[in-house]
Amino acid sequence: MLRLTLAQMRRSIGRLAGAGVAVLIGSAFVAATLLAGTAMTSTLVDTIAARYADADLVMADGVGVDQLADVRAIPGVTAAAATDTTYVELANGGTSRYEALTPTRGDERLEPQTLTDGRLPTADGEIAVSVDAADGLDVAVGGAVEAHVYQPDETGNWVETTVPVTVVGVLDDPAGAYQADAGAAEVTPEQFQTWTNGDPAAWGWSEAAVLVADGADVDEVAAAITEAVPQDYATTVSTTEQAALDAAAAMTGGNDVFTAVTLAFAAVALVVAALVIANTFQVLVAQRARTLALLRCVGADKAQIGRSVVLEALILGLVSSAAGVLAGFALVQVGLSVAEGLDLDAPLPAVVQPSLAAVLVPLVVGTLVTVVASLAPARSATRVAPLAALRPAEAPALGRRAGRVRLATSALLVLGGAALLGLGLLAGSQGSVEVGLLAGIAGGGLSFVGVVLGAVFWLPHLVAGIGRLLASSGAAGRLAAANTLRNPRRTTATATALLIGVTLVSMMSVGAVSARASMLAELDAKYPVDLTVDGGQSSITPDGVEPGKEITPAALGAVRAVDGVEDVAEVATAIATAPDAGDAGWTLDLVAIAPDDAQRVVADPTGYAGIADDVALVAPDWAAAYDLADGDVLDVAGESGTVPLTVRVADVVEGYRLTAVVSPATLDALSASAPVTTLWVEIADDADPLQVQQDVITGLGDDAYVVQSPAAERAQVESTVDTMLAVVVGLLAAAVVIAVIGVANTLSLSVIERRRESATLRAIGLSRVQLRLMLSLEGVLIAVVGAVAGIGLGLLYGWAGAFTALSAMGDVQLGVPWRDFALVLVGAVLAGLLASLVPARAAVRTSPVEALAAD
Amino acid sequence: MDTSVYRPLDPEAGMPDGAPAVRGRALTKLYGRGEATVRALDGVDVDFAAGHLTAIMGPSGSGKSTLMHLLAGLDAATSGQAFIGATDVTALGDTELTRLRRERVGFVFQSFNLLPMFTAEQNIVLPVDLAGGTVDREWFDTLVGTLGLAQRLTHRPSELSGGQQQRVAIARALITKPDVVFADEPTGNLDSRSGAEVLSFLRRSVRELGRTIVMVTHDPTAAAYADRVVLIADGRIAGEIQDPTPESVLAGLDALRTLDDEPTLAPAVQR
Repeated sequence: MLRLTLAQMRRSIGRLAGAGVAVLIGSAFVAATLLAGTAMTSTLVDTIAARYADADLVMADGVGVDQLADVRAIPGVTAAAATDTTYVELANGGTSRYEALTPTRGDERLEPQTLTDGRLPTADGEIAVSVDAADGLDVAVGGAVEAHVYQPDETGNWVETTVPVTVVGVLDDPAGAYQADAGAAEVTPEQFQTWTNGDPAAWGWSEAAVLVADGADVDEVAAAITEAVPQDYATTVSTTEQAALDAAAAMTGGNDVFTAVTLAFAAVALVVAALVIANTFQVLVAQRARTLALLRCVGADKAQIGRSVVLEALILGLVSSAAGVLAGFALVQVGLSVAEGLDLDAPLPAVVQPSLAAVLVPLVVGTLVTVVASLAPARSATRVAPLAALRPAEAPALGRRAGRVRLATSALLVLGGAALLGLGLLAGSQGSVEVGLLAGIAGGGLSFVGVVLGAVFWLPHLVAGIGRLLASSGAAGRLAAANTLRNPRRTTATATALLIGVTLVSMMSVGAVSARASMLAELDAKYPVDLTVDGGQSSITPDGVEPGKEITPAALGAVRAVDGVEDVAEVATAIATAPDAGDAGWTLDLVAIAPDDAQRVVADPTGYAGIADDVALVAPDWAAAYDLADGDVLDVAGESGTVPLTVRVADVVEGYRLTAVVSPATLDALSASAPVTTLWVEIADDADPLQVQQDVITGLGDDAYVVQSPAAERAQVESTVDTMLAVVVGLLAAAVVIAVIGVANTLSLSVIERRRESATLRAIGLSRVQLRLMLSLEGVLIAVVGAVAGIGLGLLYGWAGAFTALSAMGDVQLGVPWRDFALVLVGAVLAGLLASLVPARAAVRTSPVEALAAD
Repeated sequence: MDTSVYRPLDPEAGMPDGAPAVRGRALTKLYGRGEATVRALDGVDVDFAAGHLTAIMGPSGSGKSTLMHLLAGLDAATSGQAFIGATDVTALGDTELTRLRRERVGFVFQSFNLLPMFTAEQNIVLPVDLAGGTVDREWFDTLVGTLGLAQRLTHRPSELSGGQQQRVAIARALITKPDVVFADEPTGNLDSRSGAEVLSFLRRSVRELGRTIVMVTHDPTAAAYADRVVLIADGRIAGEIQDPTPESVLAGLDALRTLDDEPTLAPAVQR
């Protein structure tokens, strides 16, 4: 039977190739993910180990200062040094930055970094900084910087203290020990303790590295150190390698999540591949019906026939997965080489480090997926009756009607999933986001499986509907539409493969658009303008009202001078009270802006149209909170007098407590000396908000002003969301590519099956162009159906997900990513065309003579 | 038979009355090369009269199918010319051939070759559809009436008997009022009763609708429905029979067999 299977495979090699490529991509994805995960973990381990330099042993989980001294005295110990890391803010003039900080080791062999200039600090008040910090702070050896550290004062309160230090050295980090922080600054262990704990000897260290003398037995020394651990210490001692592995394992929570998420996308790709494979085998079995029947006639039993198909899948799976593993290795190697070429600081391995898992897992999973996908086709192969060999060969009968079990299962899954999804929505709107998301994900997953399982019941109707549009385009369109419907199961399976990927892509896109819209709406509500410069609002202290820092004319000029600043409005603020309101009176912030100014700089100025004398504009949320309505009159008392203000509820800035927007004249009447404490700045449309914000900060040159830019924040939110979306879509690309291969495969198989028919059509007047067009339209129809259905489902799931996740945050803005949808549709049309290229080439080669050939 | 060198007619002048609808001139077709060369057709000159049902007969491998392929422009001749009306089909490219097949030639196949996903009516009008034209309803009704398909128009091929399917195929071949219909063993896949029915429909199409049909067959009974039988053997025209009967056709075939034994002699075939 093996020989027969191989012979059949050889005959259908072209038809199997498509399925093989599908498996290959899926298993390559798995292999690459695992390899990348391994590379990342090993990089992390190396990075951690680099902190200990040449140390043989690492003491962790707390090391007393005295204990460290004792360890140094243990025979066989050459050196021992603390290796803690903390952060410190270093400043030089106007610039400051956070730096990683670690103590000097006191022994060259334990020193993780190397000096590029100067020397290591040996006394209090000295520091060696990283190359990056030296550049960033613009200091060199001999220069001075300020360290901002928190230390307890006499009363035991922790206060920020500024300590002047001299830079005595500049450090490079060739081993990447502090790669995540772009290098670390070093001070003496005593200085380190003083800065972190206020006392050089009060507390211990969290970890220390121990160098064992040449010739001494590392295990014995470790035992001796363990022996000497004081009673109430939890110090553990392990080899450097083990310590790094343990630390990495504790840290790779995140790394494992990366691998798990990526593997989830690989799983999606494999499910799509399974659909393509199952489809291919189903068609192969149909095409071989005669041969199979002949085999049955000459004595093969059902089990042999079934086994033959499964064996074929096994061989295909093994070969393709093996190729996939190689492709995965190649992919990661290319990635590493590119990374090396880019000269990243990351100490990535230069060559792929193969792991057993990275070879075996994709091999087993790929083969398993192929074999499982072939089971249903194998079953239908066993159903071919021996009699079929004697019947005249006609086109295989149209697909059997799908079973009731399938319908029931699918309906159950869809309904159950929808119920769970609904539950998730409810939970989300009640504020329990985690419960909501769990229920939503479970419900979404279940219902999607149901939708995919039941695709054969609804998808052909969609094909018919869209096909009707096609049919009006002419004879080729009519033929294509009819052809697509003649084998609903095959069309369904092919379109479903694409639907899965498109659903996920559009769901992500809808989610991203909704999340972005919701976050931006939130930003808009908080900040009405592109950029604000704030001297700090007036605040209430025990000594009375302290006015906010006034924006000086110089500062105003500096802001105006910045490139990209389109317009600036001055906003004066004051604190006032409404003594008669509520039980004990209210405190409220007054914000005064000239009506014209507001109209000019505020993004959505409709709320500010109502600025008038003796009117207080209050945001709806505050109005609701304080039970204020339009027309209410509030007696407001300021430093200069009391004015009855008429409340108008309008979309104005919300602020951090009850805030009323008033006219400058009203503010004058209430608080004549109220300073301009805020600038509302409009940024030019073509300017980069981040750059403008940076330039404004630089231009002001005084960090007493707080410069906030919702526009910059908006740009950041947008770029974050876009990046995440791009990553997800990139990960889904594999599934989509496999699905497109599936479309091409189905078309190829159809072309082979319809050889005679194509020839007939050619004989009765179908031109080559029309034949090509017909196949292209078939491909496009299948792809567009998959895309349209996927977009529809993605929209529903995306909205459900966005609502569940975001409704706790506030108003959810359900967005529709029209641009992305249009791109998906255009992509589907192109994919359909692309998928039809090869099959169409084969089809137009068919000579009309073949229509005349007797069987 | 006219074996003189053929002078093409002026295409603009149209076909003179009673002129042949299809002509082959010195048609030769070789398959393979070198030692393995097979001479499927060897310099065939043949005419098929317009408004007639002509049968091409011969034993398997005689070249009768090859002759039809060349005449219909389905296959390229090694040398020689084939004309449909005034058009030299051997000189046409694929696009022109497609147009020729669309507008001026109809085909009836042994295994019907209807499109399974279309109804009988959709199958019949498909050639007009492909050409982007509009169906001549009157002609359609005439065809459907003549072929007895009026009750079957909404049925799909799988719901039709073999004979009905072949009648649909004949209607499809005639819908564009082609200059000639080529029928390749049209009764090969039918039982004798359906076969007889289909053949009488073919004859009616010629007599009542004025069409020209060239039919390839190896069945003497089928050939007897024709107005004229062209006998072919070993890639050459071996003779012809006017107003054949099954008996005269059988006799002609017997003569061909004798011919095999005495290759030098021209056969004494009834003219």
